[in-house]
Amino acid sequence: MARIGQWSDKISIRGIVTSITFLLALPVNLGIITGFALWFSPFIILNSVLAVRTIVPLNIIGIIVLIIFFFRKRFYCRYICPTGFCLDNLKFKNKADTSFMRHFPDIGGWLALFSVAGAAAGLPILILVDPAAIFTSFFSSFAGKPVLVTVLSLSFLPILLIFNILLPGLWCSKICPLGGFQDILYKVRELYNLRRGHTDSRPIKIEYSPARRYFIATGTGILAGLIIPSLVRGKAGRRIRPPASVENSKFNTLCIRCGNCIKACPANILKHSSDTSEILSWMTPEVSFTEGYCLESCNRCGQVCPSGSIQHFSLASKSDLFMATAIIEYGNCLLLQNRECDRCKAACPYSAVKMIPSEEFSSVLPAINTSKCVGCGACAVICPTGTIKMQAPVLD
Amino acid sequence: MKRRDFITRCIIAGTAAGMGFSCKQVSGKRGTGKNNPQVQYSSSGMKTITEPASEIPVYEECDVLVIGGGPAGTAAAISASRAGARTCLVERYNHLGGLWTGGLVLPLLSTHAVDKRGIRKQVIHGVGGEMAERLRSLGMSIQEINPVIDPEAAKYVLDEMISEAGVTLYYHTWASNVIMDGNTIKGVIVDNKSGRMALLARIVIDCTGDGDIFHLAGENYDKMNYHIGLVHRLGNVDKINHDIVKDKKLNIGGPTPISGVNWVNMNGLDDQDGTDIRTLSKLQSEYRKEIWESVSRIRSTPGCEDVFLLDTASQIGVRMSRILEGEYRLTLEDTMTFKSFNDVIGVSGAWTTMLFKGKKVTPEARPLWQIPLRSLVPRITENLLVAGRCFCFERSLVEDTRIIGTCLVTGHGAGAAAAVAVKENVPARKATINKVKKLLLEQGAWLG
Repeated sequence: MARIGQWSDKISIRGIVTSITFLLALPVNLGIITGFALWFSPFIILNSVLAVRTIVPLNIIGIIVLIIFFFRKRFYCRYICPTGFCLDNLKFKNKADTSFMRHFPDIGGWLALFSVAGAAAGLPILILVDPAAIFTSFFSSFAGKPVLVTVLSLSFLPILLIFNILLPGLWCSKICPLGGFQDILYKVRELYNLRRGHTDSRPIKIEYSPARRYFIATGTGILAGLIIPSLVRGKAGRRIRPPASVENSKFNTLCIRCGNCIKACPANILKHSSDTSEILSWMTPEVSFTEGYCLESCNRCGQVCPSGSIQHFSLASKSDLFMATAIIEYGNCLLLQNRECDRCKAACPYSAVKMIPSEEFSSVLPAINTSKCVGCGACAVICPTGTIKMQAPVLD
Repeated sequence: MKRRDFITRCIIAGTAAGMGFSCKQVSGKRGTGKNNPQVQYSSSGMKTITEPASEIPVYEECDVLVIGGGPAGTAAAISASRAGARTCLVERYNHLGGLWTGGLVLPLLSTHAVDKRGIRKQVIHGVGGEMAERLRSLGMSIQEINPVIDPEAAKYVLDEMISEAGVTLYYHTWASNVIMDGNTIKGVIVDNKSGRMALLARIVIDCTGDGDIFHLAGENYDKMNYHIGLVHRLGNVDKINHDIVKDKKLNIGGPTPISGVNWVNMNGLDDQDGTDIRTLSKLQSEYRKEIWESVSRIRSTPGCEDVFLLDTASQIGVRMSRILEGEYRLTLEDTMTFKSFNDVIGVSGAWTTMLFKGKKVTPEARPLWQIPLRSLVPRITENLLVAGRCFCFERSLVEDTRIIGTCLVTGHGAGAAAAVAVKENVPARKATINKVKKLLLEQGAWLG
């Protein structure tokens, strides 16, 4: 019995949650629960809801956690945070008690407000550094082929671990925006209690009024949210995004690179973007029609995206969600050689490919009805000669 | 009036009246003759006639009657006859092999597929495999995988195999109606130069390709419009002077076992009804014209003057029409996931790229697939089996089910099942499956 007691002492709730988060974050397709732990991060949810201005049923989880923040100090850090668990268990000193550490300002709260305010203005600037996102994206980086970009992005969690060994506890207590965010909310509750005349058994000293700094953080966040999109707009190129994606300039910031969509895609068509000419788009999902096409009977990417970069969409709306355009270059078409083929027409789920009699040639040739084509890529994938290609739209 | 005049006029009038009466009798006889049709209007407003009941001689009674002498029908007849059933085969044209030979669709596709261990191997054996083997030994087959054969050699080989198996063969014979007793098919009424005749049988196998027999028997079916084409062959393609022609793209098709002869496919117009005679007649002449013009263009190209049109196919290329509603509908998923059936009667392979669950599967990676006997059995009619391109499958499978290889496999399976049902004296759908499988294996088939 004593042993069991010892064991139960060692098992923390956060440890169990971290293990579950780890399993959910593995680069395998788990269907709708792929990377599910991300839905528990209120920082992601708040940024996403404000930036996209839509709310999906699963957001309720994040909102419940958000409400708990008012009543339980650093609830997320204590019970859920997988990154925090890793950092706490991988350090040599308990706490670095240097003057540097003591004088380092509490920037977490500012960063959080900066990001949330930016989100309200359209650009969630720091959603990417959410601890849950850092943890999950590390594992999902393994979902694709290792290229320089993935390796770089892969290193985010390890860098944090090394940083933590040098300066233990600094990230969690002072930098992490989700941590700072929790402090702000709890402080709001304390202020409320003070005003109502309630006193805790442990009275809390409010050393300074943070209102002014928070105001500045919020203001710059809104400004950044308004200005940055117009700065990055000109650079965006052609890229095929999953259906129901938000516009490109917003996508690059809103996407937390968790890789949920990449892992959950049953057709394996989503890849980490590694376009070296556009750093902003690194690790965001990009469609590549080499192995498969975007299934007409699937809306999984929209379901698993916690950031709202790929919005929730219904199967019925799929025929209206434009991704790309099919382009036919007849040169190698088997029908030009009178060889047996009708693959593109048979493959098209939206009846957008028609065989039309060719005037100069005694056969039929495929033609794309662009008003029906959504760019799912079925024809391009099945074409035995690569005659059909998918052209990415010019993104703004 | 004089008496003589009166008598003369009486005689003339009498004669005229007599002639009139006799005329009336003749015309009356013609009008009520029991062999002449009466014009009526059907409920749909279409002008119709009622064919009078007539006695039709029973020309032959047999155990297994196969309608259609294409790849499926020929394989079915050979298999049933070799197993000891008295077998008749009815073919509308003057050759066996159907679209394979008369339609000039020369490649025997889907001979190979990937097994569970990932090894690509030959899957079509049995009667069909024997045909391919004989053609190869005659030197009339090129390519190991999906071989292209010579049509005249195939006609000869199939004739030989049919007569060796002891099948009674009716060429130039068109099946025009079914003989039913309730839901049980008893035989088929056919037309030919000898007139209309009844062929009675214990079991009928519908290998018409268009499902004419199950359509007449009142089965339910899906009807799919598809491309209809017309294949032709070119001679003297070896005399093309490539130094002059260079890179110019010529529509000269692919090689056949005869050097200098190429076969040229035609995809033809899409969404055509292969059971509509106006469509078939119109397309036939349009396509022939197109081919003539295409060959003329080739002949007028410098360096290609010697090329000539060897022949257009004697059968128009209907790719798909009626699809039976059978006891089991074979699905795309079945063919992609090594689905194994207890009542498997054959295995077929793959020749074209397919999409499955959003992913591309190339012919080199496509799995072999089993065909169950249930998908050859109609739901309503007793003692009828269906083989060839019209058995029961999902539309997404048409590329694999309509081709020569699969037709050979379903034909062999249906023939064996019919022979077992005859031997056991049970309805076709009740044939003991283990005996059918045993017979198929004895006849060299491979069941996976």
